[in-house]
Amino acid sequence: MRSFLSSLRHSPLLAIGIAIVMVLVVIAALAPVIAPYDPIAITGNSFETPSSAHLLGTNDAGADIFSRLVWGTRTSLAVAVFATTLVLAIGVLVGLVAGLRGGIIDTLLMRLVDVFLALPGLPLLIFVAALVGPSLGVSILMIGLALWPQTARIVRSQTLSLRTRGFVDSARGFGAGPLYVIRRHLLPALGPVVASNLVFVAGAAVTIEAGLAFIGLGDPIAVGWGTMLNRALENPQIYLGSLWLWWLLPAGLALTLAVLGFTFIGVGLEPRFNPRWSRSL
Amino acid sequence: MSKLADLETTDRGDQASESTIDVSGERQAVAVDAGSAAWEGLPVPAKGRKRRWLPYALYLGTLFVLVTFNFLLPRIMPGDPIDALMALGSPSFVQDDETRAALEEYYRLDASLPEQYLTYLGGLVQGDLGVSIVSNTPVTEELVPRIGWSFLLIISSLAISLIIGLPTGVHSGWKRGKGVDRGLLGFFLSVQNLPIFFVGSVVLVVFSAQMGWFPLGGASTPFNEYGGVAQILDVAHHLALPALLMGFEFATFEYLVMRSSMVSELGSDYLLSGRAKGLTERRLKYRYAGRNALLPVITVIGLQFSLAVTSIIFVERIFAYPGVGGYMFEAVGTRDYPAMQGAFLVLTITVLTTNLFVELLYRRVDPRTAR
Amino acid sequence: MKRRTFLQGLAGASGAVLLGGCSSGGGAGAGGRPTVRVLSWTSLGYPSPFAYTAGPGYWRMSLLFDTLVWKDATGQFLPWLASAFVLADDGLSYDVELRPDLRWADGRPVTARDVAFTFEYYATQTFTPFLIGVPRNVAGVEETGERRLRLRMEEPDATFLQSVLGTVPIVPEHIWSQISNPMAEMSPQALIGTGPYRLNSRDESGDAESYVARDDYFLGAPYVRRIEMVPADNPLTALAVGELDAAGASEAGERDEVLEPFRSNDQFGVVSSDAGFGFPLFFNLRRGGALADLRFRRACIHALNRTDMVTRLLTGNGQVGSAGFLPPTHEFYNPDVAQYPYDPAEAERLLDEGGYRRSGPGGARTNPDGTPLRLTLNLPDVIPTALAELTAANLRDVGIGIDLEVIDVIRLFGLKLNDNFDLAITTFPGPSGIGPNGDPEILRGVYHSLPAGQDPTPVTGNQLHKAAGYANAEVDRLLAEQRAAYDIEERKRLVGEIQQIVAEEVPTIMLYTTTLFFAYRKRAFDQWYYTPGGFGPGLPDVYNKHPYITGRQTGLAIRDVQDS
Repeated sequence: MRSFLSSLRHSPLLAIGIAIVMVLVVIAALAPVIAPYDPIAITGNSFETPSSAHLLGTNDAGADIFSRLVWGTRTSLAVAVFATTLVLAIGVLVGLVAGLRGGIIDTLLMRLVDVFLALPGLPLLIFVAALVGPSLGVSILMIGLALWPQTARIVRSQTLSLRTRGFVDSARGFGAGPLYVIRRHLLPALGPVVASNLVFVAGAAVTIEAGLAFIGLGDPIAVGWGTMLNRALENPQIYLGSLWLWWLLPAGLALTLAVLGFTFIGVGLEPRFNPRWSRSL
Repeated sequence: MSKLADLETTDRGDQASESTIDVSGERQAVAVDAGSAAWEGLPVPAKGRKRRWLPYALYLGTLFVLVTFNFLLPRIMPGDPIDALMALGSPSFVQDDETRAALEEYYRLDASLPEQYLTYLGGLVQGDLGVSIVSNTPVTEELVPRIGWSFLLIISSLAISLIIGLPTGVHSGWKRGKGVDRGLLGFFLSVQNLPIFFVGSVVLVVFSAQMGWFPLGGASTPFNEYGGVAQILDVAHHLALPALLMGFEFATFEYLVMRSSMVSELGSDYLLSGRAKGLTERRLKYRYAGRNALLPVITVIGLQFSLAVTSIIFVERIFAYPGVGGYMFEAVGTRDYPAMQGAFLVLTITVLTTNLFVELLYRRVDPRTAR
Repeated sequence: MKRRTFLQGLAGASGAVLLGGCSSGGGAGAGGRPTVRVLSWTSLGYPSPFAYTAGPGYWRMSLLFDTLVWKDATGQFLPWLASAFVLADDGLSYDVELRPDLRWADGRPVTARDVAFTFEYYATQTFTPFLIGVPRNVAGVEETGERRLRLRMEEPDATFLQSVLGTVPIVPEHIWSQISNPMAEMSPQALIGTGPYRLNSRDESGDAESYVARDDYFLGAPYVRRIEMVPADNPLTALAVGELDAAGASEAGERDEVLEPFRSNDQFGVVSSDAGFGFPLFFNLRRGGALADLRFRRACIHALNRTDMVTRLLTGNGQVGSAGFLPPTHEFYNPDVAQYPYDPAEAERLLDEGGYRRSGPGGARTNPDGTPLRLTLNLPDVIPTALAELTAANLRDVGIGIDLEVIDVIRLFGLKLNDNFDLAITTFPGPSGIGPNGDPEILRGVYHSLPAGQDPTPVTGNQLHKAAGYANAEVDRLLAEQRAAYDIEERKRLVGEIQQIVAEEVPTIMLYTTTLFFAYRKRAFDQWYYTPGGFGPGLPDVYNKHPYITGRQTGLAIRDVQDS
């Protein structure tokens, strides 16, 4: 804990990142309390300008934009959590198996990782999302499938490193089962490295999901920031007057904030493995 | 963002790999940002192998898998091009089974899947991408001008990113650890992570629609009779916003590589002796250190090409730029098999080729990967 | 305008060069014949009569090819290629006489043989479904002289004048008889017609085209000298910044705020028409259960606050739909049909009466058999999401469970083709002769009991707009009769009866139809009008070629350039 606090002091980025994400988590958790209205309820006239009743006005149907913005936090964080979990599951599994088993299995798995890394990510995502149909679940699944290979690589290399330093083999020598070795030695050592990686994954997942929704490949009924951008831009009025200031801008800024929050944490965590960064940031 | 960490690995001259758990050969893997790497299709060099053909085989295999996937997926999912033609077609059209059969026969969609697949592969080998079902025009004919525009957009944004990224990188590296370095680092770190589709939309609304400073879309003013310089300026005017947007996104790359590259040059003997000889700071900074630090930048440009394929899809859509990204999007929307296969193939080959190129380059530049 | 702003905004030197080369902008200039710059839709295909796509593709093709008759602003048919056209007493054929001295763009004379060939060609080739001018109900064409011919129908058809004589582009035999794959023919030859313009340039990737007047046109040199079509994502914004000379508002409806900049500025004119898009809500009767229950459907229509939808979404720029489908401004509208005003209390009463009790959790209604009353409302991504949300909110208010599901239009087409949906909102493309404001033949596509193609006379109509599972023999009979009724009053009576029946049975609810708006820069060209009943196959847009040619709204005389 003390070392964590000291790393916060040494890396303001980490502190800022954590603060941002914490705030978003609180907003998401308290969405029903913070948001004045049900985000899908029709609570005003259409296109009301900001007022005390509707802080960011209302959208084309007459729903409260501020409430939708608040609830949108949930969508983004849910994507971050689920996609990251998926990446964690696949990545750690493949990485561990490759690293521990070695040999032909390692080679095959790593070739698979290479293939996934070489794929044209976004074109493929768009292609699949458009054909399979818009849904949050599909987006999360696709994002998870796109992002796991890096994690697998990292886990594998750490596993190899631990193996070469004899932890594993000596433990095995004492008769420990493979699960015990994994739980006792590998996972604790992997934790910090994987954590940094996963924070980046979370940021990327949030951007990708919003990006898909932005180009019209998200579920337009869902309450999310990318969907808000898409819907605002499809409305010709967005090009006139100042409507964009409260319909387009807040959703984009919220999204940017979330992504920056994750990125700052990721970068902030990095120096602990790479002292150079703690000096330069 | 953490591409910075990745790029940092090129700067290792003055620092042994001292982290507690690190296998130096896999260092890039540790440091690279998983998210953006996969998103942008960045390759990470594989461990060295003596078998030189392997990367080629791997990439060819991947290409084949993608081509097949690209053929199969739309045909498995509900909704075929005839559905699309009829759904989007004229309501005064008779939509009976006979008509459907005639259309299927015309577009050769009545053949069995294996047959269609063989025809498709046969065509590919001869460079024939088929005929668009919506426009009845050969897909190659439609794609070629669009590839040109996309290429122009990517090249311009690369140029812009170099103009922005290199000098700032040199300066930042030279002033390493100082306020200006931290400021620049923070700036680029943030800029690169702004969602490009959001920034692009705001830029379009403000500068094109509301201020009227830039065109609303397109690649040139139709039917202008400018010719010569005016024509070039017109194209540049249309190109400005999308290229600047992508340029800024890429500049972080150049900046970080240049910066870390500079850092590793700082302790070099020639700088000390240069100072001793009384060379000006400016001269040392740009002529000597900067030039020497340039090499790693070149390898990074390759990476950006595959990164660009991601960005153009958003940027072309926002600015209605007539490139490959928009074409693919339209084609998917109408289930136009040949058109979507063609566009996807172009994007895939671009990404795979640059990734292969980068991987080969890495092996050559960084002997540790070819250990 | 755009370029001037650029000049102010950026370096003057480079701007000056741009301005120097900027002579191609729209406008009549100093009393000359005008150039008009209008929107180009993307993917319109090649402008040949057999390769164009959709309504906008048709009007563009109509610049190159002519039909036998054509409409002006009065909505009446003017003699066009035909100098005379007479319906035979038995109502089964038209006798047509061609104008003398008509010539194709390549100089060859136009003969009755070319006209006959045109119809023969349509009968023997495969065409893309995007063609909207495909002749129906043509039994044969006989040449009765060098410039005379007789067009025979399979059965009496009151729409024949518009749907065939006023729609089908006449093509040269000497060219098309050599072409066996008309959909893929993209040679310059394929554009040889009798039309007032010729294609001047075409930018494939940019979707931009320019057309230049043929001064040897049979009516005289067209008034608008040059038509440029350029793409724009937001046509009205493009008009405002000077990239276009004229632009239509969205056919899906527009709000006053968007039109305001044009209404309040003297430079611009705005015309409007009631013939916009229609947004019908379909019940899948074949699903059975509540959907097949008339009481439930009537409850739904009472539950929908359609006036609020029109106000909220369109600031009133639309009409609440009639239960009889045809909108109140339609020529064939029957004002006496049953209507179902917004009345949630009545909706609740009907639902209670039908056994759909509020016995589920949170007052949700259940079916009489105790299962939850929960339906999926499908809509394609082209429908405004806000409309779906309002519809769902209205239905939920009276206790009907609604799951909104947005799918792309192609997949919805597949679902409707197999009657695999509960509720669906679709939209009628305005630029299609059979939108809700087009010919009452539209009712055939929606309400005929047989699926497309199984009717004795082929049922045209998109599956997307079919009332699934609705079958009423009386409606089928009336549909056939109204088509054969040449007497307009008789036809109105028959169409009125159809409206009465469907208004009683509510197999579909027309939520609303939109008002179309079109804004233009007066200096460039100011004779735009909406053609009553649509031009060509019934296109409701302003892009009738008649005013470009004549520079006027009516008649065939061409306006003197000096007038302007």
